[in-house]
Amino acid sequence: MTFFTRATSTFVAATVMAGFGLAAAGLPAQAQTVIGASAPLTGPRALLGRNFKQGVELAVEEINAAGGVLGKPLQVAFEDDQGDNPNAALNAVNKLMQVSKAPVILGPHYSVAQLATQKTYCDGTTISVTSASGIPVTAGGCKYVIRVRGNDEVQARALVEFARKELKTDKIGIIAVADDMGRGGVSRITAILDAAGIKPVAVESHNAGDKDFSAQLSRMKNAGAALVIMWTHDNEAGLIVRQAKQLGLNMRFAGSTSASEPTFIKLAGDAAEGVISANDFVPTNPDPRIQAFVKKYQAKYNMLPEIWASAYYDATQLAARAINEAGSTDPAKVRAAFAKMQHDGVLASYRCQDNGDCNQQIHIVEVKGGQPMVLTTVKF
Amino acid sequence: MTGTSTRVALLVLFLAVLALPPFIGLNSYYLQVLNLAWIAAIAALGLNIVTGITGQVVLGQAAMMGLGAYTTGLLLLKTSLPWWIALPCALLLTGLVGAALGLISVRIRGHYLAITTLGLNEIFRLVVLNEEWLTGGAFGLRDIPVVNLPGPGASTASHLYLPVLGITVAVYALTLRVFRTRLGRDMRAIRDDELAAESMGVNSRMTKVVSFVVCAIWGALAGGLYVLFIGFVSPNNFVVLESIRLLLIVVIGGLGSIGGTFLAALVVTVLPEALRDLQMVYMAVFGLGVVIILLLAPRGLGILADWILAPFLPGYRDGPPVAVEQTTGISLERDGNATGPATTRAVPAPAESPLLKVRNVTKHFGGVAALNDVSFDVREGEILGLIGPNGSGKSTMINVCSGIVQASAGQIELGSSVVSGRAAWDVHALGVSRIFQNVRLWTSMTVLENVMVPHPDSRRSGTIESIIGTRSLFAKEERAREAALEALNLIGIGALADRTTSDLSFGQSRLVELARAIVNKPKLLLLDEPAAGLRGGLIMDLADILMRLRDQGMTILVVEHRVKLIMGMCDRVVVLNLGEKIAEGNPVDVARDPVVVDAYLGGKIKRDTTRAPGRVPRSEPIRSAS
Repeated sequence: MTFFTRATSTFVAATVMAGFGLAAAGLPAQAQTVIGASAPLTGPRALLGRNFKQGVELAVEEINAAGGVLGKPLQVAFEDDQGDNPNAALNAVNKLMQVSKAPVILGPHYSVAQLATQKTYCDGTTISVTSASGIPVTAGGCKYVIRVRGNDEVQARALVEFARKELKTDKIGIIAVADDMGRGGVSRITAILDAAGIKPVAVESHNAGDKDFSAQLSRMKNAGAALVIMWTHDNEAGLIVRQAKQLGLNMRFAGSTSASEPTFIKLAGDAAEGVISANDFVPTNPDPRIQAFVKKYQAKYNMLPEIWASAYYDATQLAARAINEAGSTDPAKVRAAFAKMQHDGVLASYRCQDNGDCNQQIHIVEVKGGQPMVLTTVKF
Repeated sequence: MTGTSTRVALLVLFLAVLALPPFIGLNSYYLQVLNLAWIAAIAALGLNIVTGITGQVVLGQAAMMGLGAYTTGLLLLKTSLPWWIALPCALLLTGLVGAALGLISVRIRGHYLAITTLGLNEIFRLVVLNEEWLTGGAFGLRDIPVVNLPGPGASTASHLYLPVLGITVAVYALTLRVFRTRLGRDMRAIRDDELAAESMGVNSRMTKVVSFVVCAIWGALAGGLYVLFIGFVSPNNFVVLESIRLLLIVVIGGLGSIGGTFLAALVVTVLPEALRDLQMVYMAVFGLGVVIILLLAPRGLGILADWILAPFLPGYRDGPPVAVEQTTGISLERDGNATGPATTRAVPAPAESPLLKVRNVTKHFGGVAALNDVSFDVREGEILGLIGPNGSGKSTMINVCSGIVQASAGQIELGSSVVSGRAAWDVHALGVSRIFQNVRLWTSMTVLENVMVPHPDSRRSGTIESIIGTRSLFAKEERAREAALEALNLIGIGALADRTTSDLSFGQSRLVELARAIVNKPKLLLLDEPAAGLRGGLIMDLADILMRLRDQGMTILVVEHRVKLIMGMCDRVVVLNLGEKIAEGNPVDVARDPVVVDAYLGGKIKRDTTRAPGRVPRSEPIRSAS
């Protein structure tokens, strides 16, 4: 009993001490310019975190090869925010601000984590460069958020408008997954159609992980839909188009970002041909700037880059340039530098608006010969 | 010096250290982590009350936090109520939800309850996610005004540090008080042995509801403080994983240990932050740390905390034990200050009026009739022996009389009140007390506490006064304590008062159970094989005690196998065989009755009565009974 008591108390004392000790030891060395990154390093979103980190590290390598930031090598301090866990994000951002004294933080990436932390960083202690696409992220009046992607609204609008113009039809049906992504998509699409005086001929939903979509598809057919917009995950989208082909339906399909992802194309096979989607990044984009990035990334990591690696590669480049152009790590000056900057990145040519939105374009992608091909780039 | 002053000094020092951070210039990251630890400590304490102390496993505490957080947030956003009105409203609403959950827990038990609460947690998340017009959906409630209080330091985390810590300490102090008085004893009794608790007068339904309400309110308080301090709330704050984290705190703290929960909340919140520099593996190392804690101290951090908090826990006595005459077994003061009507009585008065009337009682378990149309009286002031071969329905009879099992047909009356159909605790309140065939004490509690539970002064203190801690509560506590000591002394085991019951020998436990059964001076005492497992000397001592109790005016119905004991102490005997009464009368006559003799040897001779057994298979819910 006594032994246990003593052992326990020693352990507790040690952990508490270690808490403050380790944190104190984490103070940045002054020989480097330190910025922070709040990424999902652990938990179910860790794969996204890995891509995020690889994109950042590739950018850091290039920046340091080109002379670093403010004449010193750039160092990125990573903290885990567990993706969409608000408390972990709060602690990660707080630590980066208070302990690492980072003037710029890459991430948090998830909209909910962004919104949870905005009360903490928007007072001007630090700038967050994120690719969170939730509409409220730049709509809340925060002056210190920089966003490298368009918001969810932009993606839906670009897709719907292109599809209507290209396919010359107003008979549009929607199949969406019954979660916040799907429901958000449906409400945006119907609002966009509504503005053009159109009502969707049918709106169907399914649960995440469903395998059989024949009921939803036959209702699309009965309603006379010529174009079906899918707002769902890549697995389900793949099954939807494959089953439509098996049922002999000849409607066209369009989808969210997932309808140009490798999983979708692999699962849908032939049926993927001609499916249109809106996406920020496809590695087959022939643009030489993008091909150069794809080559560098493949050489370093032996895998194709995807959207999050590209987005945070760009975010790192943007942050380094802004600090260099401000000539200081003072957040207010860096934020002013972001506002003046024009930067050609992998996702877009960035130009920052007052609310922090810096990306005003999206690619319309069609699957051709089993590859996602950029048809056009919509600028807004 | 004595242990008390050392411990109190350590506690004061600990609290003083906790109050330091805002004054020593720690940055707001550390303060925020600590604030989150205090908030987790409050929510986990609620969970500990219901899971650790009352024994009802709940996996949905995050939903209670969420309900409190969303209610507070919405009231602040949609009405312009000040926070000090919004927060109590949220506590009230969540408390009501807790009451509903408590009522559910009366019906759903054990693992089923755990899964049900897990489901409720998920329902809460989905509703919050989907009702976007009210809750803001996946992106949560933003722009909730953060409370501004003056305080040391520059950041909100620093301003709110001392208030949050103060509330946490107050919540813990209040819970400690509830833990060691009437309500806490009832909760622990339900956890240790619900059946025994019910038959000793604990209204388990009410107690469970109250513990769920307190659990919900502490959860809501934690959620409300979170909102007032962070200014943001989303469905992702209150996922099932958060409930599991709170349960982890309760387990690491040692289920049921209040101080342990506080330490565990600190460890579970601070340790992952401390390990952050390990990057990808820090959560794995944290998990390893949890395993190490549980290996080193299977009872969790509670061991440490309970040592310091001992002066505030039940069963603590400063200094050496009070000198009580140590007894080897049962020592009776033969002519003590007994208040009974007579000290000796050779022959029972024949015209005694019946105290307990058992009329045509039938009890089916599925297709088996454990009791079949049994009728007899227990006369006031007698010891009635209930005997019969194994499986003859004796224990079922005791269970039916004490309200643990409800009769399928027939009626039981005590004086002018009908006993059958009442809950066990109501039967106890009418003056029926019992002991069990296999001793059923509440093993985590002290002997004294065991005996205090059924005392009328414990039973009479209301829920509200138990929580607030009025002066009348403490007066009742004191009376219950004195009466319990008196009962222990009467049985001759006053020296054991401060021992934990799990440390006792079987014989001692049996005597404690007897003291527990007589502390409320019951009219009728039901004894199910009181001598089972006792060695020879103790058995005759026991007979002495029972006769002495009878002489003090108590009526006793005793199930027993030992012929010697029955012959020695019973005034009359009722014999059951295969659920039917086959004989009744004075012990000597019954022992010679050929039907009785034959029943014990295995046959079944029918008396020339023409009653048909009439066993109707009937299915009905069966509660577990001894």
